[in-house]
Amino acid sequence: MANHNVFREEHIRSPLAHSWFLYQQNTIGMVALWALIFVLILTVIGPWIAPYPMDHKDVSALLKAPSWVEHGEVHFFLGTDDLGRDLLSQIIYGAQLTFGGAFLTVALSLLLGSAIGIIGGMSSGMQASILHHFLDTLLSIPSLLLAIIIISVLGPGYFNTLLAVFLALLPLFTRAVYRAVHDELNKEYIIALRLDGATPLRILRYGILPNIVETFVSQTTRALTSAILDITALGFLGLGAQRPLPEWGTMLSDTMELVFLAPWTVTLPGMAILVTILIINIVGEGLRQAILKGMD
Amino acid sequence: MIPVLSVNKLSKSYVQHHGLFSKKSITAFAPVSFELEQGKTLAIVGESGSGKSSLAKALTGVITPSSGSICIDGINMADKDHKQRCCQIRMIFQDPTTSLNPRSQIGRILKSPLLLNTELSEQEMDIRVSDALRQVGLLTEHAQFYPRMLSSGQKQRVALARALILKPKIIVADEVLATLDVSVRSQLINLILDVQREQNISFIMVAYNLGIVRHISDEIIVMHEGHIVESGPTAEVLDNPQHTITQRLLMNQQVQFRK
Ligand SMILES: Nc1ncnc2c1ncn2[C@@H]1O[C@H](COP(=O)(O)OP(=O)(O)O)[C@@H](O)[C@H]1O
Ligand SMILES: [Mg+2]
Repeated sequence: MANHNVFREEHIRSPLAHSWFLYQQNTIGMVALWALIFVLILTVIGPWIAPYPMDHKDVSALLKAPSWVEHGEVHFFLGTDDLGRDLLSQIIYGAQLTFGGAFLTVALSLLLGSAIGIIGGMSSGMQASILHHFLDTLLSIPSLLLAIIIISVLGPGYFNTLLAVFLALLPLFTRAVYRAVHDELNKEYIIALRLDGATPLRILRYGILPNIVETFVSQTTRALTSAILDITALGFLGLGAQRPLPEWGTMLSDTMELVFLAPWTVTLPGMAILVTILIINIVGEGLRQAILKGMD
Repeated sequence: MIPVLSVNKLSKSYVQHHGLFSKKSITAFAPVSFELEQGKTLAIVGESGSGKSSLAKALTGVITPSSGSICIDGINMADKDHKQRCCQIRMIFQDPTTSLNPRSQIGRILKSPLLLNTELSEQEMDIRVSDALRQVGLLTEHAQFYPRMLSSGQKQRVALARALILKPKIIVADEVLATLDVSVRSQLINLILDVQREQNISFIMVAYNLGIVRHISDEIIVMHEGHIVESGPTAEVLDNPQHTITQRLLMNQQVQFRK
């Protein structure tokens, strides 16, 4: 009994704080997290730090190689494309379109989809089972195909792309949250709360939500990945953002014919897509593991 | 002497939906009637699938019974909501690892029934929580702990404290001893007997081990396929079993003892 208070601060950590503590031990995860924060900051303040305006074309510097290659110039750090646009500036502006757009759509569909999922999961009987079967049907269609179908109705364009991706992501969130809430409701600690006389809102707040954080994290990771892939794929197919908007997928398709002449114009936007998706997944998977480990 | 609990023709059948229109009903237990006096312990025994858990759940309001009535002190519980019921009759679940919210501190878990059912001030609640913890042999400091920091015996003590904290008349325990090792089990049994003596609470224990049943219970109900096949004072029933099911249960366990 005497030494019970020693090290108490260190021992009693809430499960989420404990998960965060575990995550901090994961070096790769922390590096990826800092990279993700960097991309996020770049997305927000990009327009102020990009060296050139978005539509700036320098006809005297067409297809300049990146600065570290022979004939490269430092003031076109990543080189230029066939119209003399600075690639670094283009990629920075593109972060707002590709990553920022994906981020916003995911945030919105997370809010709306989870709300529907929670309401469906907490209710029972006919509405819940109709919702369930409806979502199963929707989810059997790949999200990109669903987005293309929606685009074919709305017409191509950047805003319509975001709308289509938003609509394609909704069922993903709704279904996952619905499942998690539904599973959670049958657990004994929820039954115990209900027997204490707790209102559904209180059960949701203290019983269910803290226990389905893992679902939110893993679904958000998946959704961010699939949103970026869908936005860039639609851009690449010419259905999404159109030039001069420097959306990363659009940049790729725009410079595809230059792949032998000026490979960096293809590689760099491609790398931007790849690296962004990679760090999102490293962070997401690390967080998920830490949350699961923090439980026991 | 009027019984604290009287159960009259209580029954439950589960309805299972197959597809949209066809349904099937499974009888968990047929109409059963029994009574329980204050401060006494009733044991419910029977093989698995005989409807013991369903009966325990119906008594505490986890599931709504298909027919029949439950009266506590002569008041029918059917017209009452959870709030009024939980001050009278409380449930302890079988598995303490799933019956405590892993994201809540023990103090919060114990406080929530007080918060929802009493008008106590914050300080009075804290006092009740630490009293309850001490009563079940834990420390006041345990209020800050999360369930994952406790052993399963300690968790079951917390579950007992949660049942006790509203000072109910009846506590229903569904196989609470099954998941504990022998030494922890006997500690918990002694704790339950102490608490019962101090507060004159009636217990309904769903149990498997007939040795323990004989030790702690006054009355016994033997269930088989949803029916009560035998009931009466524990010592009488176990010493002189009339029904083949009771005889078979006793025989199975005697074989186990001899091994
Ligand atoms: N939620 C449920 N839905 C359908 N049938 C159930 C459900 N729970 C229990 N049953 C059925 O009711 C019967 C009694 O089960 P139970 O009360 O758990 O028995 P015991 O606790 O004695 O093992 C079993 O046949 C079981 O299959
Ligand atoms: Mg059972």
